[in-house]
Amino acid sequence: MCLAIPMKIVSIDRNRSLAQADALGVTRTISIAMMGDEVKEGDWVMVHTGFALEKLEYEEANEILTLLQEVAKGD
Amino acid sequence: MEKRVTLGHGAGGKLTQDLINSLFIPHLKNDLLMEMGDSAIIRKKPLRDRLAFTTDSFVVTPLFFPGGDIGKLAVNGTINDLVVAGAEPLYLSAGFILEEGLPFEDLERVCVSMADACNNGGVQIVAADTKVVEKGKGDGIFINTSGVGLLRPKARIDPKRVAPGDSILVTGTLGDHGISVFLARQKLGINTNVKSDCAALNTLLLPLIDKFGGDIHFMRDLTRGGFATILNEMAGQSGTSVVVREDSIRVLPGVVAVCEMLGFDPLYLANEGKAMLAISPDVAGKVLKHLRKHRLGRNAEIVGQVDQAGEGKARVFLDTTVGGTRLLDRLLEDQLPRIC
Amino acid sequence: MKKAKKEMDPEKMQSLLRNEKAVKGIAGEISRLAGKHGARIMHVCGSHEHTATRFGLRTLLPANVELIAGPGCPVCVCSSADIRDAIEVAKKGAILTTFGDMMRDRTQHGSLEDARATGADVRMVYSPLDAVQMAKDNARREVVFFGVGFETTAAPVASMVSDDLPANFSMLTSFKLTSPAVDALLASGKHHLDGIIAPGHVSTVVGAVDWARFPEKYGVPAVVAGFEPADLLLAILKILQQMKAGKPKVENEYTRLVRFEGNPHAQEAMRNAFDVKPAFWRGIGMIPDSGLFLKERWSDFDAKRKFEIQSSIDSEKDLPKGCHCDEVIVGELYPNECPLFGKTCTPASPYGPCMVSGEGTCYIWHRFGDPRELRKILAGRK
Repeated sequence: MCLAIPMKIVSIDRNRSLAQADALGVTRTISIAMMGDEVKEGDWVMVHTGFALEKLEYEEANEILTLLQEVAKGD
Repeated sequence: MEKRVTLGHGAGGKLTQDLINSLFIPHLKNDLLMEMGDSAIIRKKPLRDRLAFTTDSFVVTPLFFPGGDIGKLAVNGTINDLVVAGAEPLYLSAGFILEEGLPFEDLERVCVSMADACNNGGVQIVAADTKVVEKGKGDGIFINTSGVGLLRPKARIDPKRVAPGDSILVTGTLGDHGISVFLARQKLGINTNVKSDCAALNTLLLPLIDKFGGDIHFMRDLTRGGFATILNEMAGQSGTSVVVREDSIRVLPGVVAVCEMLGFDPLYLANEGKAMLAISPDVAGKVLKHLRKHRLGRNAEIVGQVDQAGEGKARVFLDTTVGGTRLLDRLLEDQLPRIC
Repeated sequence: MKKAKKEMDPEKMQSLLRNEKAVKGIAGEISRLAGKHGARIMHVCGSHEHTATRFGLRTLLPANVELIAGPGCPVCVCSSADIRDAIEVAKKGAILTTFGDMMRDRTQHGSLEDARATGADVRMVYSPLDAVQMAKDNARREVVFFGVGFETTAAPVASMVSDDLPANFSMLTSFKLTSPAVDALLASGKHHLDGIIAPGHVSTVVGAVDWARFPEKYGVPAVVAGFEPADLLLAILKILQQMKAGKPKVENEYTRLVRFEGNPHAQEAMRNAFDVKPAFWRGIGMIPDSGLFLKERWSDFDAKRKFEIQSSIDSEKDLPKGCHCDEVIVGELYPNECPLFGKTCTPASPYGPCMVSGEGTCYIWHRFGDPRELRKILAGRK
């Protein structure tokens, strides 16, 4: 379960824990109440039912990226 | 339980088909109706197989949405039904059912937009009627339009002519209208620049008929139920299977994003300015080139191929972007956003 | 590689995770590792099922690697009593807001869509945020949010719970915890599983750590996975690798999003809002410590209290007579082995809960085809 989509934070309203987020030009107000203070403009977050669940960190995906790029290059 | 009409019966999918088969056909059937085309081709002399006749009703909430309104839809929808039957649209009738309390201003906006659509589509509204229902018994404006057109001499549109090997073409991006109207109606706080693709297809498709004639076996505009549903109807009527390649289907980024957010499949969303064609493979390249020269066919693609119906089952398969395959069935009822 | 990493964004990442060569390469590796013995692997997530089905992934897997859809569809496991309560609240004059999925969940008490057709004010929202806003905009009406889901959805709702909520707002909730349900399945000893694919978005909240009990208690590998085709196949591959090494453990394939310990803010919000108690799962029954219920402190926002709803479960498994959804939900029965499948039970006229929801296994098989047959068709074409 749990449909979510990556969105980029465009602007932040810290007082209300809200942010404007964008995915391919589609925008919506989302809650960043579960993100603590570390989230900032330009970050990518995974959004489910209008709430940022977690920040996307591509540095953490190194292992998979390397593997995929190798396999995709093929034999 | 007592059977009642549900919203699903109007969605253009399987439930609609069930309603047609179980109720309308038994009472109203005749040879012309049973051809189940978008327009009936009237064969009586002295018309010599040349008169096409169609009707369609339009209910849409809201009446105005990005890229169009109910008036533009009502004119272009009927134009397109004639065009995909291979006919040049000529005259339309318009029946208005108005709800008590409707602002004149709204009605006028709709009329202006219908006039524009008629001018663009080269048709005239030559008969019209108005009825008003009590407040609460309508939804602002309902419009029925009927249209007549003359079949192009070279037109041979008939699902029975669809054969294994035929190429399937789609004239552009899918889902623009469905997403535009859905977001305008539901107010989900999602902002996009996606607009309805509502447009008359006569200048795009009629020249193809004149040029390629009998090589064009089937055409349909991709309205209710979307591409997937109409492909299934074609497969059923022609007794073939179809294999579609997902990576050749074009969807605008904004439509992709909304679909990902709400869990929609763009292949089931309505379009009001797109058509699919089944044509002989020999002319596929030329037809594609022709389509792409036109403003409304810029994003045309060859998306699949007609195949033999395996085990006598007419089915549609989708070869996915990663090389897997699955069935693509017809729409059951309108899609609702999912959270999972 | 290093360069690519810096420029990575979701679009590029996605195209790589949907790259046909990459996906087929991983599928080939899975075939090689699966050998003759194969594997039975369960996922517990409607979105994983969606990925598997939408991309036709099962047609790329060898026949003896079974990907079973476990109890991962919150709509399917939501009891008909919960739907009845929501209908009752709507009939008492409140604006009842809920997710699109729930509108058509058909039960013997009808659906919310039916209730709307007979005049109840039922509205679909994308976000619980919109339900709260609706309460602010309609100060004279009671606005109720009917929330259904797992941790991923429960945590956002929990994060809204505070004294700042408008007084005319309340909630009906049917929130469940995923890992206790899988635990109950394995604890029953009736099901053999070689691996568990843990739901990626649930795990953003609870962390990969929540799945550690499966290798520890049952010796079954558990891999947290994302939702792109390559994510799902990599998780299967990791399970097969663990099986081969004979060292079951919890692994995280979805490292770009999921932290091992989960999201502390989300967990804190859940502890603040909810108590963990036994909960009823449709087709399964009561499962200990598997439900989230609004704390006494927040009873002002509990719609059941506000509208004096007396709730009770319909029957032991809450299934209509002759329905085999209980066996389908736990992967014991293929949908088309049920005598009702495609006959008296179809998506247009569903009989059991697995045919109701778009994430239900029966619904998916009916619409998208039997993967075993599709695999043959695909092989025959080449």
